[in-house]
This record gives sequence, C-alpha cells and structure tokens, in this order.
Amino acid sequence: MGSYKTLSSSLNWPSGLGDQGTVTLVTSVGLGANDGTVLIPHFLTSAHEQKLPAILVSFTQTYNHYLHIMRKMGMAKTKFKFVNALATTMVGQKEGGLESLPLVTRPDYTLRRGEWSGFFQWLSDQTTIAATATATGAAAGAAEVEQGGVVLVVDGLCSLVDLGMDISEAVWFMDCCRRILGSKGRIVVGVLLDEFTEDLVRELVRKSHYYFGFTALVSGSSRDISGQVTVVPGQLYCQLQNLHNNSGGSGREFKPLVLHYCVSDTNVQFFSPGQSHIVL
Amino acid sequence: MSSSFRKRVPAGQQAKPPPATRLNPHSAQLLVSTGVPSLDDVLGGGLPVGGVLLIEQDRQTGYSNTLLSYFASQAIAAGHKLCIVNADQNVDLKAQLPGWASAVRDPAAELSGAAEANKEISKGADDTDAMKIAWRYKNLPKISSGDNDTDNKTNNNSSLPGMGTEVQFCERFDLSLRIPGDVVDKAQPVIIDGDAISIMASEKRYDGDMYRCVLDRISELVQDGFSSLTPLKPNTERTILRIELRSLGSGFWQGSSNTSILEFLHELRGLLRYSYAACVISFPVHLYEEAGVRLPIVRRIEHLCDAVIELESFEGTYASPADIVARQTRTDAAASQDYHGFLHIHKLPRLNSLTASMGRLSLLHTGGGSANNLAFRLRRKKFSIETYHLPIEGGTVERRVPGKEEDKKAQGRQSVGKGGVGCGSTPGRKDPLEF
Repeated sequence: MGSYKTLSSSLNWPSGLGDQGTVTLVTSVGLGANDGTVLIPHFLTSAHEQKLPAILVSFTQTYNHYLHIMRKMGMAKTKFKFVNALATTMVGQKEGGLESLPLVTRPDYTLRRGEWSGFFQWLSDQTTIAATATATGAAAGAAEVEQGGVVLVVDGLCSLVDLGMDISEAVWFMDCCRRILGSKGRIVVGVLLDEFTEDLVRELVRKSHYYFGFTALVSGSSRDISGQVTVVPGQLYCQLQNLHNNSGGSGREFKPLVLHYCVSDTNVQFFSPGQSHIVL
Repeated sequence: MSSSFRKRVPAGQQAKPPPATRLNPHSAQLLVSTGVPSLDDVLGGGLPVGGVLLIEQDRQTGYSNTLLSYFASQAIAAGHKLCIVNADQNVDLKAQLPGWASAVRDPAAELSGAAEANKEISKGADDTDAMKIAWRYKNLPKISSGDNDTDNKTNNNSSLPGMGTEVQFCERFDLSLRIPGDVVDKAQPVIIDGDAISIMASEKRYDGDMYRCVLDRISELVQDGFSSLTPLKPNTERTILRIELRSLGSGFWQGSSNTSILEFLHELRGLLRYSYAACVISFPVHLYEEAGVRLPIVRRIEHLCDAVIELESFEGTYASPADIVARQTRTDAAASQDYHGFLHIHKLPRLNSLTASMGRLSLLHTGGGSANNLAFRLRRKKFSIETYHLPIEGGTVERRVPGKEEDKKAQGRQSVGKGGVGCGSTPGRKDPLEF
C-alpha cells in the first residue's frame, strides 16, 4: 500500500509532498490516537516514490518503531535514512554505542544534544549526494527523476524544549536545516502542541508554508473516527504565492480544508466530515 | 501487503524470551506483567519492555502504592531484577510486598517438583471444564482473577525441547500475606532511598541535581546485563530489570531547573528503549495543580511516558473527613462491595504500532469510544479493576424479600380500627374514616 492517496488528492499534491523549498508544520494535541505521526509514513513513502532521498530525525522513538509501523502498512520497501536523537549519551557506552546494532536497525547518525555542527555537516553531505545523484540521473536521460532535493522529516522537535533548550534554539535548528537543504529540499516538522510548547509552535507557524493541525473531534469521541486534521496555508505560503503571481507563474492553488481520519495498524484513511459511513 | 510466510529458523537459533514475559501479537513487543491481571488487561496484555508507565497518584490515599507493591512482588516472583527509587522515605519491602497465594507457587517446588505442579494445575483445569456454563458464555475469554484463569497457568515453552516448567507471566498475590523475608533478601533488590540519593546528589558533578544522579545510577544498572546492545554471555539467561520510581516529582526531588524532570524522563525513555527493562513511575499530580487546574508541565510529563493512568479515589476527592471516618466504621457486607475510586486511562502504550492494543485484547474495554468507565476496588486480599456499575436502585437491603416474622408483624398492625383495610388506610396508623 502506498502513500495516502486521498489526502494527496484533497491537498492537490500530485507527488504527495508540498512544493520544493517548503516547510510543513504538523501539530498534535492530546495523548490519544489524534497524533500527527500518522503522516510520517506518508511523507517518507511519497519521497521514495518520487525517488527523492528521505531523512527521518526522531526525538521521540527508535528506528525499530518506525520500521514496524511501515512494515505493517505495507511500506517496508520504503528507504530512508534515520537520525537518532532520542538515545544519546547514555546508551551502550561500554559497547560502543548504537554501532553494535544490526545494520537493519542501526541509525545512520546519532544527534547528540548540543553537537549541532556534526549533524549539519552530515546533512550537508547528504544533500550534496542527492544533488549529485539527481544530476547524474538527468544526464542519463532518466525522465522520472524529479529535480528535487532531500525530504527531511523531524519528529518531536518540541523535545528540545523538554531538554531545557530555549525556543529560539529550536527555531534556529530548523532554520539551519532549511538553509542546508536549499530551494530544492522539503522539511516536515512534527510538534506536540500544548501550553508548554505554544510559543514554539507560534514561531514555527511563522516560518512554515503548510500547517497540519491534528485534534480530537469537535463533536466528541467516536468509535470510527480517530480525529480531525485542519490543513491551512502557513504564513510563508502567501509570500510564495505572491512570488508565483508576480513572476507570471501558475502555481497550484492550495485551499484550506478539514478532514476526518481513522487510524488502524495497517492503514490511515482520510475522508471528508460526515463521510465515514461511506469510506469505512 | 505483508506476507504471512515466515522463514523457518532452527530451534537452536531461536531467541528465547526472558522468563515471565510474552509477546504482544499485534506489535511484536515483549510484555511483562504489572502483577495486577486487570491492569495488564487495561494496558493491552501487559507493560511493554522498554516502556514507562506513569501512575498519577490518588490524593490523601495510598492505592497507587498498592499497585507499586504488586509490581515489586511480581518482579520477585518472576525472578526479575528489581530497583526501587524512593526519595521520600526509607523502603521496607518485607512489610509491603504481598505474598503469592497460589499453592503451586513455591520457588523450591518449581525447581524440583515442577511435574507435580503441572498435575495440580491440570486437575484444576479439568474441574473447570466440568462446571456447567451456559452455552452462550462458554466460549467467552476469562479475565485473570483466580484458579481457573488460563493466563495464570504455567506457560510451557513446548517449542523448545527439554524445557520444563516456566515462570508464570502473572502471579496471583494475596494482600493478607507477605513474601518471606529470606525470599526478598535472596532477590537482592536495589533500593535507592532518600538518604542514598542525597549523598549521591551532593557530589560536585551533580551539584544537588537528584534527577541526574538517579539517572546515572539507573544507567549503570541497565548496562550491567540488561542492555539490548550487549550480546548475551554463553550459558546465561536474559532477564528483565524492573524499575520503580515512587512519587517522582514530589517535594523531595530537587533538580537543577524547573524542567529537570522532563529531561530526566526523556533520557530515561532513550535508555529504556535499548534495554530489557520496564519502568513504573508514581507521580503526585495533585502537587502540580493551581486552583484545580493542572500546570502545563503535567501534560509534557504525560507525553514523555508511554502509558498514563490515574487513580481517583473517592475518599481523597469527594469525601469529607466525616465520611472517611464513617466509612472506616462500617461493618456491613455492603462496605466490602463498594468501589474505592475511578481508574482513568489517559494514554496507552503504542510501541511499534500506530494504535494501542487495548481495544483488541482487552476484556474490560467496552469495545468502542472511551474506556474511562473503570473503577478499582481494594478487597481484603486483592486489588482489582472492574467496569464501573451503578448499584441497584434502592440498594440490596431495601429490595430484599421480607421474611415470615416480618410478615406477621405487618399483619398484626393491620387490625380493624387500627389502620384497617380502607383505601385511605396506612398500616400502623388509625384510619380517620374508620368508625
């Protein structure tokens, strides 16, 4: 099973991803199933289908967690690089860290708190590799290779606030990633929204092109529906649209929408409000 | 679509799971029991290894401590390593841990008389089958609560040749009993109490940060044979490390900043994910409230844990002091049947999965919508979690059919001129219309 086709068509995203050079912010509230992490398999798989290199940076879960989820959803063939930002200083010091893990579940990079320069250098190398591969593919006449960059998915950026960092540092981290990926790359940032991280989310919204807000159903709990997602253009999207219009381009119009969704182990289904009895 | 075919692996290469654990069929996650079968059911089969269960404590009562004592007893019963951290007070395990009630459960018997234990269990199973059960209920699964429960039966790894009786996944405990002191000593639990923490935190590198020093101590324990990154030594059996953190975040815990507890939980999660360890934390949430509203940090703490439940005792929340005293003096049988509080499920573990397993594996789950209709009850011998039911209207005493003596008394009051049989008559009172 591939990416979420219904969601892509509703958003008018043929590739399943936002435009190049954009930042997508995904927020979640609550502790239950109304969690924006259900979009992570979609973005990774969409990047894989477009033959774009994908990198997942997780502050909340291990590599094994995402592999299990994607295997259940039939996305086991999706290839992506994993950056471990959860288990940092204390894990396996005697055994040489996470390098002793099998190759299948071994993270490609371990992001240690405060050691940003090493990660940025690694990310820059990945971007360079992706650009080289794209140029090679284009030179060989491979028409299906999108002239695109790296798709970076960050899960749980709000954990930096838990670790005692200032909000400005978390925003600076995202800015640096965006500059490294350049105009071809795409960034997806997942954040848990609550009173503790509200200021961080406000800052990130100002620097985003698309905003996905996962919440519980307004009408209350439901047996069939896990929650609802509100998708609106971010502040930077308007600037992007103005550039398109001024340059005479006909950029795809992005319309705000509200969708309901149902989460199961093997699938996530999106549908318009009130259409659950048709879809499910 | 995932394939159902599995590669055949020789028996010698099969990884043997640690004792008293089982696999969650939906998430391939290793589970351990909390010691309370109904709580295992609520969590979807048990507590995931590598996960953290947060118990939001009840105020002014000690039901959460009962859950923690079950967890510790289960650790000793299963042969797991136990570590208890309590910054509030010294820990006296021998006086707290409930003993096991099963006649089969005897460490010495398991080592030498395992076959006899199997016979006794199988005899019990035969007796169960001989019970007459209505056909519509016969095939329903039974929750673990007594002798007839299949979950409490000995778990035999018949796939591995030569294996005898395995340790039970969840032992049956009796709150009126205590684990013998020599058994507790033999288990060698690691206890880090307030004094030890204060001494460690006074070191220069910690600068009074109790969270950091406890985290370092836990890290040392994990790396001492419980890390999943460490290859298993030959002729050794993998076991589980159970960690209890009692009243984390109470006034006795001192950190370097307001977010020390968040940093602690984040690092703990990263540590446990690569270990054969499970952690239960009790958290005094009522200390983090202002005017009845929870502080924002509580939600962050809940996010950093894999499962969150809350015990809301009736005595601590709704009862006045007079009610509490009156309750303690009640001697009627109805008092023992009362619920003692609500169990709220705020978060269920979702390791290796997008959804929680509770809805599919739980017997207490209503099968749809919120599962927050659960209540707990502390009986003389056990602690249980049940679906909350309102009592019968009017109570059981009022609806009782009166006996013969009461009938005679009622008839005596209904004589002519003294209450009569007129439509306006009232038994025991003079009918004003009678003449």
